[in-house]
Amino acid sequence: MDQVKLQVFGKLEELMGVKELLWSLPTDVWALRKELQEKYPSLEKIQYAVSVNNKIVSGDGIICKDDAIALLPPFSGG
Amino acid sequence: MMMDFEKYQRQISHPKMGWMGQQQLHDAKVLIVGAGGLGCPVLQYLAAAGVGKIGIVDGDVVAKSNLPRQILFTEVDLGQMKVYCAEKYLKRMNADLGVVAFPVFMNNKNAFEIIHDYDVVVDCSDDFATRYLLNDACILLNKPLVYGAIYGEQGQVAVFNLKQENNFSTNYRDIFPNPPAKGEVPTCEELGVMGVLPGTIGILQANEVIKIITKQSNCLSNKLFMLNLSTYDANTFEVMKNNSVKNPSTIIEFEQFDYESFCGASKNEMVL
Repeated sequence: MDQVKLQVFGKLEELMGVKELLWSLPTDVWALRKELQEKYPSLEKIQYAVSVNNKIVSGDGIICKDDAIALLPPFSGG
Repeated sequence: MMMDFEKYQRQISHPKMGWMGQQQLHDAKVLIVGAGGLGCPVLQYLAAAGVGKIGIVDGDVVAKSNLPRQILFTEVDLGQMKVYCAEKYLKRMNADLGVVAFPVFMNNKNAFEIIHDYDVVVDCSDDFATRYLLNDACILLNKPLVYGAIYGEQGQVAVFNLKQENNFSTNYRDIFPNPPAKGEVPTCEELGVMGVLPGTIGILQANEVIKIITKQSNCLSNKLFMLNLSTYDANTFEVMKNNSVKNPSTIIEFEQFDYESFCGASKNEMVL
């Protein structure tokens, strides 16, 4: 099965209970967000950026097999 | 003013600095917004390195729970305005330094007046409203912004709005177009924090300021750096321009933009 590797940061790590996981290949970033939300309903209202192969991309960014994805929530502490 | 060669000899000997770099630091004016966990190490290292003029913006007083990480302050400072305590400490460190203390919180009415005189702005704030406000003000005033933020054991550092050769620059809204809802991201008070995390991230921010002032080519412009102090995992992400992003495009729009409701909380509900 075609997969991508997800790396999870900040609060998302706590909500999803993992730091890294394999995910079946989504078509684009929108699809990935939707699938993640189905498995982890608490993500529905959470803001986070998505990077594909270390580039932070907007919603329609294409995702390909074996891409490295990172889920990056904002931090406010100072 | 003549530069003190003896004091800065080790920096002047550094191949990336030299006399010219030291002179550039001496001539530079840097504004630090927030004199907390991030702001203290930024202030300390920039003052020590010989930055000529430093502005400090913070409307808060020193609390006992600040002391384990806000390393410019001591027990005798409790209850005093942070900006004046910091000013006193920095002047003792470096008598040549020009310090301007702003004992206020930054808002969209005072931001332009405070920022316009400075070359580089450093975001050491601890709430989203101030982060969006500073980002937007720096875009309108064309100032580079050195961003730092922490969560748990993780930190983020980035350089926004730095215009280099190709005139391309990204900003905070390109990464996070929308702020999180109120309560979505726990504060340091809710989550706890060890002083070494803002200490480390603040020093990285100071490093970026020095690189910008001395015109080094490899700063974190258009990049988001993330560091985990527990695992020492470090990641650098490239920031792309997000064309759907809308920030205030005029001073009037900026002054009318309600940052506190945009970020879902009023300042006095936020933890400082």
